[in-house]
Amino acid sequence: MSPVGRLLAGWVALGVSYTLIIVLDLPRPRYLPELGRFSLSAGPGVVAMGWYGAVLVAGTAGFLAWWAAGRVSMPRLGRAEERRVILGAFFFLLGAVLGLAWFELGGP
Amino acid sequence: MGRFGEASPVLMKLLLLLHAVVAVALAGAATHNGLLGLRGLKEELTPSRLDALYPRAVFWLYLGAVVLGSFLYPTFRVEVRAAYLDEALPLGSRLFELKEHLVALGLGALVIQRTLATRPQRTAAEDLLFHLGRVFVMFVVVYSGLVGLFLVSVRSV
Repeated sequence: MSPVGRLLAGWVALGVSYTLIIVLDLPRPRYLPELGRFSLSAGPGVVAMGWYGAVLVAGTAGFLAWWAAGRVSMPRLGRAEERRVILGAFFFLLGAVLGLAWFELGGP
Repeated sequence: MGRFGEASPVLMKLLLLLHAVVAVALAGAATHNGLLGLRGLKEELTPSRLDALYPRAVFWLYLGAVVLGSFLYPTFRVEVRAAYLDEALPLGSRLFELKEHLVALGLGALVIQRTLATRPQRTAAEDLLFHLGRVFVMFVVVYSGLVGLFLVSVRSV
């Protein structure tokens, strides 16, 4: 895959995995309040692990996607197609941003 | 012995000050970089030294701000957010969470704009992705700066 394809694959994988981790509430389970209380009493370092972990997992997913895309061969796209793919991926990621905003500001 | 992740208030204040200094420099660099990116999306730019300088500066300043912010995060999360914001100003907590999400997503754009900035001859596709990455990073930095400033004006670590 071209350098642009690899970079896009990495960014999209990072964005999708991070958004899923947050929207599924994995770093701070709202449905397990006892875990929240345990975390607060255990100290700030433990509470912060949720976000550190989310970034680490999403970053690893992005890196793996970038690496894996380098091993995939794809036919060369035309200039207009390349533009469509890039803009599609970019707006897809903007959709993830809007989803996260909805989740934090007006969601469940 | 303190709980895991607890740090002295003086150290936290110093870190916060350093975080703010880096963030101010980042805001300047990212805004210039992003505005060049916006122009690059509209018209073909003649290559300049700034095309390589701003993305490099933004890359290192962004990483610096993230690392410093990560050290502040545990104390902020418990001493400010859980102890005050969640009760007194829930919107502040939510805006802060969104800031952290944007910063995480911005890491991808950060790497992209840094990687493509060093290419001597960018293709049209590389050019498009390069400018989109710069604009995305600018958006993240401006939002984060404004929310950070707002929260510090309410209560800080």
